[in-house]
Amino acid sequence: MREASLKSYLPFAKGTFQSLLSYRLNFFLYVIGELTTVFATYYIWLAVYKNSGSQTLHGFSLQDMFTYIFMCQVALNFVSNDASYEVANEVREGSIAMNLIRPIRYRMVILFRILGEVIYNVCFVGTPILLIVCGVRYFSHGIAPDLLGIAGFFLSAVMGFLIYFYFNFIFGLSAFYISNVWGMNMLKGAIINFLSGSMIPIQFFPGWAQDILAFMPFNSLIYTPVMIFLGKYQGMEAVKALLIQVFWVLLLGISGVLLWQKAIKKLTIQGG
Amino acid sequence: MGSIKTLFSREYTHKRAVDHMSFSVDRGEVVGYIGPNGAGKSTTIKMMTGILVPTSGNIQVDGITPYEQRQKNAMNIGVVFGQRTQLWWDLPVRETFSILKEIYNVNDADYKKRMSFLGEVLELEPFLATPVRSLSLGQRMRADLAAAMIHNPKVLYLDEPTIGLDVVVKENVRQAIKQLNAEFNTTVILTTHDLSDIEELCKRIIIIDNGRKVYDGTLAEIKSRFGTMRRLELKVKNPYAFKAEPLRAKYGLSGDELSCEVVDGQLNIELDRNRIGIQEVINEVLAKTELVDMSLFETKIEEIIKKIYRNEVNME
Amino acid sequence: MKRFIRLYTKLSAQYLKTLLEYRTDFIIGLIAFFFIQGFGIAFLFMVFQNIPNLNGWSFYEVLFIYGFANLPRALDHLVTDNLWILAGRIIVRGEFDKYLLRPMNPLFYLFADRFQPDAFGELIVGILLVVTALTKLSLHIGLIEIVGFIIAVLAGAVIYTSIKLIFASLAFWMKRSQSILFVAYQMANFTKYPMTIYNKVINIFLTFIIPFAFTAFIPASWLLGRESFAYGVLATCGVAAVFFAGGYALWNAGLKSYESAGN
Repeated sequence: MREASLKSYLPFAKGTFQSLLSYRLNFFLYVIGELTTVFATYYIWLAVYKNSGSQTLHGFSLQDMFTYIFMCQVALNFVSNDASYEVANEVREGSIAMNLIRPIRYRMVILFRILGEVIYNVCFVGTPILLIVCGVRYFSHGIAPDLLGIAGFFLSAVMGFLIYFYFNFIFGLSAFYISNVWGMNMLKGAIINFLSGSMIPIQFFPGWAQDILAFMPFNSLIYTPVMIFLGKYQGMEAVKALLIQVFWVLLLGISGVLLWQKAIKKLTIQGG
Repeated sequence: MGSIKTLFSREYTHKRAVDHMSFSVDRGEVVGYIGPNGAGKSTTIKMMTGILVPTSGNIQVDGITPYEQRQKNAMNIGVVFGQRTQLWWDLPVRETFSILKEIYNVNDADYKKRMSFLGEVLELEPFLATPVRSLSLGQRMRADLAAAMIHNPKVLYLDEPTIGLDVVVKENVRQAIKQLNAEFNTTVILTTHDLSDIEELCKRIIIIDNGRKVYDGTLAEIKSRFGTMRRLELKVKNPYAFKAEPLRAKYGLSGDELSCEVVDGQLNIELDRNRIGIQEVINEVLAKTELVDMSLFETKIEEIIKKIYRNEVNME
Repeated sequence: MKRFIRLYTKLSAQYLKTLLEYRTDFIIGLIAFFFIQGFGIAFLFMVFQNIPNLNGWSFYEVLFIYGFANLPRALDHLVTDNLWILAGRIIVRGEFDKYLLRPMNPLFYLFADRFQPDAFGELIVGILLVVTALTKLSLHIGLIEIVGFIIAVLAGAVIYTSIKLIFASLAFWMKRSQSILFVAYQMANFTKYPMTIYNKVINIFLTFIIPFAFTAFIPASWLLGRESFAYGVLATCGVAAVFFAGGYALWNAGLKSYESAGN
């Protein structure tokens, strides 16, 4: 069987992108709805810095904090995807077996479908927010855009995307073994939202929690790219953070492949 | 009592779904309400049941205006939509009946009596404990019928009750509807695409097309009116050689009384036996071309009704 | 009234049986819900590590407001969850027909047809937070406070329902209104914190336009001794009455315009 080239997966990305385009209005209303939480958080930090009597908290100035909470939204655009839901659905309905008879890799099909969604989110939500954040920082506070920081952010966010993609892929495959992926999915969302630092920077966590989180992949999803953007990770520190991300991509990626091969065996034995 | 009077129209954003519709139905009648897709059948039923509000006009069902006194009207009617079940999807069939008993305030004695009658007529017993989602289409339809009858409604609306059923099950459902009508003297309004439903169940039919009524009368009348219609199917050398116009002119016939068409190289002629002899027609064919084979049929009721839909026959 | 209660119990019991078929999902969902709430509280806790108070509100006062906000939200969530489905698919798929074919008020039937047990998680967390905060705050709690509290929670739930009803009813004209409903509902996110931290525009908007302020911050402030009884409880009831009347009128207008779906 001839291996399919990257080109043969492109239509999957295009398909998702276009179907999202046709739901534009609803999509933006949902984005606005989600942003209410961010704005509430914005006002909380405003009050917190006013009441704290100090310019910085855990090394974050008020400006840093505003940038942080909005850039988390941009990073979330790279990361959020429902690959686990898609995979779990196909496992449950048995349609996953269909993918074994096609000359393409299932993992890549899902990756590209998700990619369509991510590109859409990044283009129409992430990038505008990024530009607004840079604009506000420049015009109100005279902070010039740090091009290296932005480039680092994108690189790191792509890593975050890959980590979460493989994480979700593995999670979706777990539908072979547990039947309640819907509830688990909700649980997963809640945990990741908090532990990735998108509600509050990891620096604000108690020391013991920070120590534990250092050994988990959640930091790498949101916190790392945003810290690079803020210039809080620079030089060797940024390289180290990126290498940790690479480590997670490899670990989860290889686990995903192994699990998939095991799942295929199970599938062929069961006959789908 | 139990009679329905209607005179109404309803405008949709783009087109009038139903216009200048007027009819009344007596208690205990079984009326077939037919027409092609998009003719306005469902719209009419939905107005009579109180789901839709007509833009103008007036509907009375047993003295109640359905869309104004919806709840009062709901007590009087039972509705079955062939395409959409009203049973509680995830629950055993039996549970649906116990909920409906509460909803319609049916007392224990009546409930028992009706359940045993319906259970027998519709053969519900084998699947009463089965969740609705696991029923076959035929079982589901029977359960839906029973659910619509549990409060002994005066009027039963059936929208495509036999859609998707196989021939045997269709026949079962029809028999059940007959028995229900006979036992409770329930008025039945039925829409269907299957004219054998109509032939078996309805003395009266109302035909609508493009939101307007095109026929209202008995099936027998249609049959006697068009009972003298015959259809000649001829295999000839040159099917286009025969033309109907010269014969029409000669005998003073209308388009209904003599017509012809060529289908797959075969010449089909429809004629009214009372107005022109079959022999005259055949002679005319033989004069024009060479005959290979022929057959003669009584025109089917489906054909006639299709013609009515297409406005090819004059109903005045 | 007795008939309503009997019917409601009957229909809910049926729905519960349906849910039990998917019970593991439900339990995991409930656990997820506790986590979400737990993280929200952890966030507040971490924030307060850095400040003595938030614009004059102590940690336990904020916790009290946060917990209070859960209660009306949970009650509404428990009963009227079907409004989300109405706005999302019931109307556009013509499934609303069935609510018009029974001898019951269609809105009542819609509510009775489904309930959302996730709300119990919200309710439990809310009660725990309110009780914890109260024991730390040494407030005067007499009969008036208890009765006023209950009334305010119920009125707050009615405000939630009314706002949802208004935006869900739009689906009668728009076919789908779930995304708009979502935006409106998300505005409630602002009211679980002391609203003095926001600017005037947000305060006015959430008091007069989409009055979520009355579902948490305003009545909670009364119990914390910062607002009058008249504003904290009576005004809450007034707002609930006005908005429910408006929502119900819009709903009724929607019923008249309901177009069902073609076949």
